Parts: sequence; structure tokens; C-alpha cells
Amino acid sequence: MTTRIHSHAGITRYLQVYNVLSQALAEGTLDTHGVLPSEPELARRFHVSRTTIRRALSRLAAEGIIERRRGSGTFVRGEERFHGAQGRFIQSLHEIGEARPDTTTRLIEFARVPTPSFLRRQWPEFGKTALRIRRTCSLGDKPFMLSTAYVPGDVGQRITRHHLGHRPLLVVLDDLGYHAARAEQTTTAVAADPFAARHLDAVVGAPLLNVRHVLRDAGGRIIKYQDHTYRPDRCELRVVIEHAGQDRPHEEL
Amino acid sequence: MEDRNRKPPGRGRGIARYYQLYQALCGFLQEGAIAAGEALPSEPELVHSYGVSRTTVRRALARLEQEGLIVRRRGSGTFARKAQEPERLTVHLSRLHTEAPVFAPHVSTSVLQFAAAPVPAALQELHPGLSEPMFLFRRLSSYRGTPYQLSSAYVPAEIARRIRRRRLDRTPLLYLLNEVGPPVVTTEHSAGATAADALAARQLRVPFGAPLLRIRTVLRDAEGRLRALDESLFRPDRVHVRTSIVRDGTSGAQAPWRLQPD
Repeated sequence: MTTRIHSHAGITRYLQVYNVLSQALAEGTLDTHGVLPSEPELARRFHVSRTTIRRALSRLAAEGIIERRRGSGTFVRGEERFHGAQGRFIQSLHEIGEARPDTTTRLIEFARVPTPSFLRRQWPEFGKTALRIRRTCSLGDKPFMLSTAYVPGDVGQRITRHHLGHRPLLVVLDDLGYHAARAEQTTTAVAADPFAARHLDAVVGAPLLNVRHVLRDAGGRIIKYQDHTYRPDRCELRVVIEHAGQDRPHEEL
Repeated sequence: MEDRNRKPPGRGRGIARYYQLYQALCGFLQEGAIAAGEALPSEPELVHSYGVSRTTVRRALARLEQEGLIVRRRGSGTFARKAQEPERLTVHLSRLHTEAPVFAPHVSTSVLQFAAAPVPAALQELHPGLSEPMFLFRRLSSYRGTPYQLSSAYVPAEIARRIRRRRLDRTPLLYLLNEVGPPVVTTEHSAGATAADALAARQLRVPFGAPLLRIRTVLRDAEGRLRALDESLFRPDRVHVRTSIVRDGTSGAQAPWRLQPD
């Protein structure tokens, strides 16, 4: 059975191939000791033309990820070789948005806006207006997370740009006496839209990890909604779950 | 309107202009800047404010219409439609290997592979020092006939040999393992995203390069011994992975979060 690459989502074939190639390089699944398969081999593997492969490789070369040496092939640049978790930001899935001394945040937007309809639809109690805060989080000069938070109007009214500074929103809310007690988190994957691509230094259509949550206080009141988008090559979210050594549930054999 | 949409679509590298306009309008519709029933700007207005051709505007609108986000009425204009969320399965992370994929109604699972196979480097990294031969046990799960999860579990060969094959297609991984050895007591999960490669695209019926949610799991027994390494890929339009977290909400500042068992 063959794989057909459809030009989908307005993204050209070469970009789709680029996304899959850069992923495979980051994971160390494509190269053998730093050497990439030949162009015809890649074209065969991905069922695309050599021109498409060449365009994808040119882009990887322009970004300094690979090096093409005339006559001898394509190589993964030493510093870009797969080094496992090294250099990747590891975060606990249940401690999202916590302060980390080794990261820097940058404020993109701080605005009071009408509550977007997707929030009002799901949580009518959110209210008519919200404070929207958009920030990126970087390790060194490499952004790995873009977050968009909505704080309900009355709570948001008490937060100023100055008050927020570079602190995690959760800490600011605690400061103001709004103590979060529980959160429902949804984890999914999204394709980078032009906005996320720009701020995460990624390509449009690149796969991103997405975690959304709604925080409530002990009384069940919503104190924020936040959407986090991560570059999966720079960051991963981990969690350990204990099991009681369950027997298998009752079922007919 | 907000800054992300004010910028006229540029000649993005490899990204069609219509797609950039489409994305910008999607943003307005999803965030409710244009509410259901409200009119979108006219074609000439869009041409003017985004500095693109009429053809580009028409392509963007055609795609929005195709996806059911807008409705175009001849003579009266283009209107936002009420957003319709597709039906998605909810998988609780804490029950990923005890419940999913087998026990939900309308879910079916097929076994794609059960054979000796080398473990990919990225997965090995989760359990350094892996030297024993491993079996790959690959399953595809579907909900109402549409595939949503491709799971590749690597199990030590010595354990895999004892697994009863006829139960492979309808038993969650953790129970399969518990039936043939010391129980699994910890699962360590790592969440990420990936672009669908040839195999995933074909099995999950998504375009090559489409974003997929990836959850890797190390399953260990009470002695810390490896029972299995799993990599599951999920279609984000079909599945949501849920986790509930709680903390002491009365003592306030800086109370630690912990996972709540579902």
C-alpha cells in the first residue's frame, strides 16, 4: 500500500515533508550515524518527487540542521544530532505554568476583551468580559511555549500589567486571594497557525502539543482558563501514575 | 481587532495566501469576534483590508463554507454559522492502559503486529540500559468505524511469549501484562506531538504530516522492572486526553498540585 501525500490545509507538499523530516531528525529515527538516506531513497519513502525532497532538504540546510556535501551526501550537523532529552525542557503535566528559574517569559498581549464565544458557550458563568494575557516562555533564546489566558472580568479587573510582571499567573492570583483548588485538563495536538508559528519560531502546520485547563477555586468558581501550546521538540510533559496492582476487571473470557 | 489578524497575509514561505486569510477568519469565528448569525465583511472589504486578490478571498471563504463555519447566501452576504463540535472520545490519562482502548462502547480494536522488533531510540531513552529482546505489539483502535489510536507496545520477549494471543484484541495492555507476571504499579507518561509519518497516516487515515498527539508510557512493576514501553498516537479530532488535578485551595499561596485519580 502506498502513502499519498495530499497537499492539505493550504500547506505545500514540501512543507509537509519538511515537518516529518525535521521530526524524524529530532528523534534520531531517520539518519544512520548522522548520514541521511539519499534523495531518491527519501523520494521513494515519502512518495513525492525529488524536487519536493530537494526543497525540504534545502530548507533544513538553510536552517543549519543538515549539511549537504557535494558528492558525498547529506549529514546531520553535529550539534543537531539526536541527544535524547538533553536540552529539552521537561515539565510535570500537573504543574503547568509554574515558575521555573531557568526560563524567561515575554508578554505579547495584555488586554480586556469581550469573553470569546467558545468560552461563553462552554462556561456561561464566565461573564461578559475577560482579561486576556498572551505570553511566551523560553529556555535561553528558544521559545518553547505560547500561552493564552482568560481571567473572568471581576478577577481580571484586579490584575495590572505591572502586578503581573514575569510571574506565573497562578502566583498572582494566589496573591490576590484567588486560590485555585482544582483543574480539568485536556491534552491534544494542533497544527501551528501563523500566530503560533511566529511566536514559537516554528513552521506553519508543524505539530504542537496543546494543553488547556480551567481552574476553579474551592467554591467551584472559575478563576482562569488557559491554553498552552508547546513545541514538542523543545519540551515534553511528564507524569507518573501509581496503580494499585489491579486485577483485570470482571469480564467473560 | 487583535494584532494577530491585522497583519496582511505575506508571502509566507510555503503557505498559500488563501490559507493565511482562512486562518485569520477562523480565529475571528472561533473567538466569537464574529458571532453566529452575524455577517462577515464583504468580499471587496476583505480584498481591501487584507491586500489580497478577490480569488484569494473566494478560496478562503469557500474553505470556511466547506467546513461548515460560514454560510453564503446569494444576494445577502456571508454569515457565521453556529460552531459544531465533532463528537470526541474522552480518554483519562490515568486509565490509558487499563480502560482504553477496549471497554468503551462502539470501540473496536485490531491487532496489526505481534512480532520481535527493535525498540526505537526515542523510546529506549525512557528506560536506559535496555538490552533484552523485545516484542512489538501494535494495535489500532476505532470508534464507530473511524480509527483514533495507534498503539505500539514493546514488551520483553520473555513476557510477550506468555501473553494469550486470542485475548490481544480486547484486553487493555496493563491487564494483559498483569495476567502473565508481577503487576504493573507505576506508569510514567510523557506527552508530545508528532507529524503523521507514512504508517500513522495510513492507519489513522489522516494526511501525511498531520498533527497527532503522542503519549509514551513506561510500565514498571513494584521492583522497578520494565514490563512494557508504549507509544500511542491519537487523532486530535477524535480524542481528548483528560487529567484532573487538585490542590489545597484554602491554605492558598503555592500549595502543590497533585493528580486526582479518576
